[in-house]
Amino acid sequence: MIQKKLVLSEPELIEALRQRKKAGYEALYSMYSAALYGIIFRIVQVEESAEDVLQETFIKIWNSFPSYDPSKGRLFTWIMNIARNMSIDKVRSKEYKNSSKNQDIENNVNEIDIDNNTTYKPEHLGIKELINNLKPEQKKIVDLVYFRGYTHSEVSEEMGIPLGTVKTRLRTGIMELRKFFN
Amino acid sequence: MEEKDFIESGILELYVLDALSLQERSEVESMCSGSALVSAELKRIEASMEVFALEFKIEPSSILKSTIERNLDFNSTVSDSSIIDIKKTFNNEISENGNSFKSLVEKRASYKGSIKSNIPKYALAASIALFLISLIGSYSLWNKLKDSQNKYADLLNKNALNANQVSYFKNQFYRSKKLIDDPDFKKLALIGTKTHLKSLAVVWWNKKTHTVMIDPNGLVATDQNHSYQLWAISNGKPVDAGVFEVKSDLSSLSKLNDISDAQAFAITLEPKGGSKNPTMSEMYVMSAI
Repeated sequence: MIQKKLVLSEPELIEALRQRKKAGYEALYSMYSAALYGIIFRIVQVEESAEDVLQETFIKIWNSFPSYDPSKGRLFTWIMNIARNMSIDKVRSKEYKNSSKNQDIENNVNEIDIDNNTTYKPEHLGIKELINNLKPEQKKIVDLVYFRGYTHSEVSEEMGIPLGTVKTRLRTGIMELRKFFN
Repeated sequence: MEEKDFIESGILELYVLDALSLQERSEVESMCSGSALVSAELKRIEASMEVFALEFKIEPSSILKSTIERNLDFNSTVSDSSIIDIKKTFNNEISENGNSFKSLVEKRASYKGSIKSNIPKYALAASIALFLISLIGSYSLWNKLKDSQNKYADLLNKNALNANQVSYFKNQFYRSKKLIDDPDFKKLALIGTKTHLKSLAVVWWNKKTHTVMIDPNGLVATDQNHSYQLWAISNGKPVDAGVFEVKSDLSSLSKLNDISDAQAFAITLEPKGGSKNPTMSEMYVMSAI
């Protein structure tokens, strides 16, 4: 049924989660479930697995909330990284690799071609248009590292470019992206 | 200058993406605590990551919310309504931390719904009741509309079917009428043989053009493995006049092979595709001229 979208400020949300209040979960879910699911889906690319990861992510946020330290960073950064790490774990898990339709994240970096439409699911399209505005050398790195969850050393190794270059291109790419949203 | 290089190196982005080793992490953390420039840049990166994620959000299936909820243990000693208390408790803190969260709050302002409400409870209840009533009303109207649409589609189908049948019969009628009206066409009734007394067929034969038409509407339907074959008996010898099949519904008048000379016609049942010579034991109907 129709629900009011519950939105809290960050300190309110943190306090509600710390106290394990149901409203804390509801606010967290209504504010961030779609953002987290977007991150997860782009890495996992299989709806069923992505839904599993979203569930595991919320459970982990809930159970390990005491370890979140607001002085070290924003709440969203913390939950985003839980979602990213769980997605990456999923993609590298045996069960996921065994299903043939899933790509092997470690070995297939070269096969992912940003100019090749077939590697993009429709859900990816919004991003494609956007990252097409980036310089070609930034494009692939932003896509692989930010949207697909590859590590910078994997990208450096597979693309044969120095680690430092991966880092700086990622930075300039992300800065370009930032311009679109300001 | 050192700060700038540090920022430009892209290490902060990787820090936010949790992609650094422990040693690199502590390096970033110590840089942040020592430099306002670095820590401000880190906050900007964090904020933009959140903005990207919200920009690129994908709504998950709506059932997930309750599925997840079942797996969480809530603190039942605190009532849910106390969220308002949290709000109060943190009003001060918000204004203290206001600056650092300013950009986030601004970003959210567009979709932030007000939690406090001045609308009296009864008005809220009345509007919810009205909403529910209208929801039920729309649902039943929607059902009726769907029902009508289905019925209408059925009628259209039936109408198309009827129109097809009418045109089929009209066609048949004109084809038959043409034969009847044509003085050159001779109508030959083929009567059932002893073993197939109920069978009947009509051959229309034009001696001038040699055209042969068959009206098979008195023959039982053929199965998958058999065909009827019309034979013209010319000087005591059977000549193949064509093969045809009969379906269980109405079979139409069809043209067979041209025959120039015949004293009689007969129809036998043959293996599918016909035979070179008639199977006499399977003769269904026969005529004399």
